[in-house]
Amino acid sequence: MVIPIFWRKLFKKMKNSEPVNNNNKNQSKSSNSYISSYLKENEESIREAFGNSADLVLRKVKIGANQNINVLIVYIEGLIDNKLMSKTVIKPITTFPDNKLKSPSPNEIHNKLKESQLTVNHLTEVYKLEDILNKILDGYCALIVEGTNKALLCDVIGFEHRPVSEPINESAIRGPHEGFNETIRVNTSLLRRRIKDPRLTIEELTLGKIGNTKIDIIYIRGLANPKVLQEIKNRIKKIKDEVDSIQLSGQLEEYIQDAPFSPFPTILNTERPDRIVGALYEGRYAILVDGTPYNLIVPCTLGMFITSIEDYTQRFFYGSFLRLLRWVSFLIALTLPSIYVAITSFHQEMLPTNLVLALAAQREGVPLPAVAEAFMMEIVFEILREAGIRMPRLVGPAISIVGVLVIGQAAVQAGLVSAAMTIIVGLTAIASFITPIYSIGIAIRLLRFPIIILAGSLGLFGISAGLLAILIHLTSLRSFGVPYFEPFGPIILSDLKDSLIRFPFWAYRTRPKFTTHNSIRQTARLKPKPLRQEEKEIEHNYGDD
Amino acid sequence: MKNINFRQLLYLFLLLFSILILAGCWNRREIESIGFINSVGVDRNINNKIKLTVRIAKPFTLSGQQNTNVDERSFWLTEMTGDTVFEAVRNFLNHSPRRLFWAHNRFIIFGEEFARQGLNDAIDWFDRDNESRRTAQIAIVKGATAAESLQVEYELERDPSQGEAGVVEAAINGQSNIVDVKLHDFLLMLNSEGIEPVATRTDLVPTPQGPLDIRGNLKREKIGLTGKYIGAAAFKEDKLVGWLDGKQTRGLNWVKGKAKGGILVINNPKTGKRLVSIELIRSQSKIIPKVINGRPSIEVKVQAEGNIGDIQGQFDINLKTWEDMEKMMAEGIKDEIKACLRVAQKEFNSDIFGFGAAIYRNYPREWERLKNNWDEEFPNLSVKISVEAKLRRTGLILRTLQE
Repeated sequence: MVIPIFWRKLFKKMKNSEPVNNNNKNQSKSSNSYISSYLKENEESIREAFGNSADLVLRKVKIGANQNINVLIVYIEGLIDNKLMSKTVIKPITTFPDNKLKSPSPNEIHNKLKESQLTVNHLTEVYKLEDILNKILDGYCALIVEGTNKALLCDVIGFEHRPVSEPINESAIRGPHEGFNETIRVNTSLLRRRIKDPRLTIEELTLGKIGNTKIDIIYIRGLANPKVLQEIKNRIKKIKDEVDSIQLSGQLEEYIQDAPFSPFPTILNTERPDRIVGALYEGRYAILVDGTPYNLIVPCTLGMFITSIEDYTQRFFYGSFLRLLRWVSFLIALTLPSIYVAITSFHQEMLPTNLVLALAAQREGVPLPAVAEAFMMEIVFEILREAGIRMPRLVGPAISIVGVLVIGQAAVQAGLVSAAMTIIVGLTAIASFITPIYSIGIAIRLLRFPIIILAGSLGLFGISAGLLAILIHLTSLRSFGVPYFEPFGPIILSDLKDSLIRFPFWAYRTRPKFTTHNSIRQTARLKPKPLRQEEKEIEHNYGDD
Repeated sequence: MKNINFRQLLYLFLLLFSILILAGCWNRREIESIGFINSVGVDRNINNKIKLTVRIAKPFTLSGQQNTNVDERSFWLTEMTGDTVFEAVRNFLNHSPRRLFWAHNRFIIFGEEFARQGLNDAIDWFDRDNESRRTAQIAIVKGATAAESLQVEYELERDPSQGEAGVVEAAINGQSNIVDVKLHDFLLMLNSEGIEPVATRTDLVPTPQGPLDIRGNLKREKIGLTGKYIGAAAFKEDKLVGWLDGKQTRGLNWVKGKAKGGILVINNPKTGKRLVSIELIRSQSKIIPKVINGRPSIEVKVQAEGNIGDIQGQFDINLKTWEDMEKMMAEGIKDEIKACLRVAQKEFNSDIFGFGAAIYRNYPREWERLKNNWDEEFPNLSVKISVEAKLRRTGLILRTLQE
């Protein structure tokens, strides 16, 4: 095995020349041990565990009647809030009232500190060096009083992070303008603020041999199906101590998804807390990964990728219109270039005479066959798109000029590309960006190429064969036990209310069928209308009281 | 997935992939490599061979791009002969750089001479071929060959087929004095019992050269011939037997219930000298056959509606004059039907109305006996015509103008 050797070299200090055991985490022998009553030993062990890193701070303070008792303060610079630290930890220690206790024992000092002196919000007592190491990495500060074999951990977490800001890639006009950031605790707070109920459960796991990434599995007890939770945990447990680290939610997605080779994503990623909240109310699970603003929702269906918060914030007519628009664009993005290729090279009789003559006039003198032209232009567009995302902001205008002028206008004028084809490619490109979740757009763009080839070789027959294959594949997919193509395959009538079109909120009597057993959402009589006579009387009586 | 091993998957993939290659893009033809046929004319040449004249669109002259030469003709007129239609069609490939494509063909035009000899020799291919469509208009040129007819040009359209299609559509909806016969309709009439086919009639009209343009130097295409669509060509079996004029054709359309519009001019109910024109808006018809003692007779019931479109002279529009006008309108319609009936019975002896078919539907047993000597029966068939005409509206004004 190559990896363990490499590994050992890299972390030989931590490993203390012990033979590497892959299943163990990063604790060396010394860090597994208990806290020593000699400060010097503790100091050395901690220093050794961190390889004497520059940001590790070990400070000794003398307290007690004769200033003869040392207290070791350990923290990592940059992970703590300096002001908070000096106010709630350093100041209480340095102003320790030594006169009340005559020659206090170290244990008495420890207890005094723990019970009344320290003014931090959150304080725990630990006995193992391992706990100190893990906690100071989270931004805690550890205190060890000389002569005791326990430590106090104070919560003084405070590090730089991006503020909660507008979601960058999933914007909405009327929806909330808060998006996740890279800090998991901030993200869970965004969810807590929206679901004020103790049944909102957050289970935390730590993943990775090295990275110790925090993963939060979030659900609403009583709504979510416990079997799905078990399945999520099983899949995560499999990789928990095997992977080096999980840095991105995309990485976790690849490890735990149902269909690793499918072009369709079976786990939804989003940077919108409101989307996750909506999913939680449907009995789904959210998986938050520390360090990334994109968090995961399981189980998910294809329809969720075509859904935007805008469908719900606007009134249901408009919401339904948007849905239909997106499904149509979904199909356009998938098939428009191939339909154009098929019709111009196989089925000229399908178009009205004037249109067919106009198209023929456009193609006059174009050197490539339509299928090659379509393929080439699609590739060119993909290059432009990628360049547009990847390039430095300042050269942006240059790319647009080159893209528009050279590839669009000049190529058409030079007769290398037909104008109709640029229209088709442009329309397709715009349609492929209408999907609210970027990852489904990628799936469509990838599938477009095989369909173009099928259209160029077999015509409409090829397109229908390709679409049929995609349909069969879609209906065979599962996401954590839930059919991916639900409610269309299998057809679930009650779930169709929130699929191609969106019914008004008062019409949703049930929750999605497959995600929860707690299926009744609300009663049926919620449609707004004038009160009936009996109801009015009741109202009136209330008024009298 | 577990019981399919990698090798099997590979074979499956190779097999699927070979579909793409081995199919060889069968029947693939790029849109710009096709000659789209707009219209085709069918004649016989002096050697009695079939001569096809085709008008093939030149798409590059029709595009909106800057380098378009407006003076260039938008089509290529060419001809080819062969013993059969199909042979002639294939013979085009010897001098046409583009493969001909028939699905967009709008007109199949026959010369009068060819039509009098019978269309059967030519029409089979147009029905049998998988590219050619049954939506092509069947037109017969009066007094000329189809080749001549294909030289017509229209001032308002660069593409003459577009012009022809426009005239036909306008005349059907606004005049009802031509018949709308597509290949499909023609074949139906040809192959049904008790009805003889009609076809669209076209006349060639020489256009006089207009006065010089004001600027004097404007280059202008000489337009020698233009097409005029009015009337119909009456057939017996597949042979042309005669021509209907516009009035007679509308009579035919009344009987068939296909009159959609048109202007009917009646006398002013007061003076009788001046005129009122009525715009026909809709009609219905019913052919009621009767066979009494073995003698067939036909009753044609026509219901028509119209609006007053134009009044000469002054009179009060009251209940009486209204009824008078309706009566005159009914008479006018009856007149047109009678005119058509007379030529069909006495001149052509061709049952273009489908009276025989009506008898066949209602009295199939009697028809078995009648059909053998229908040619003798039809000219003497008694046809009773009853017309119910209704006037609906008077346009934007009610009263007549003061004299």
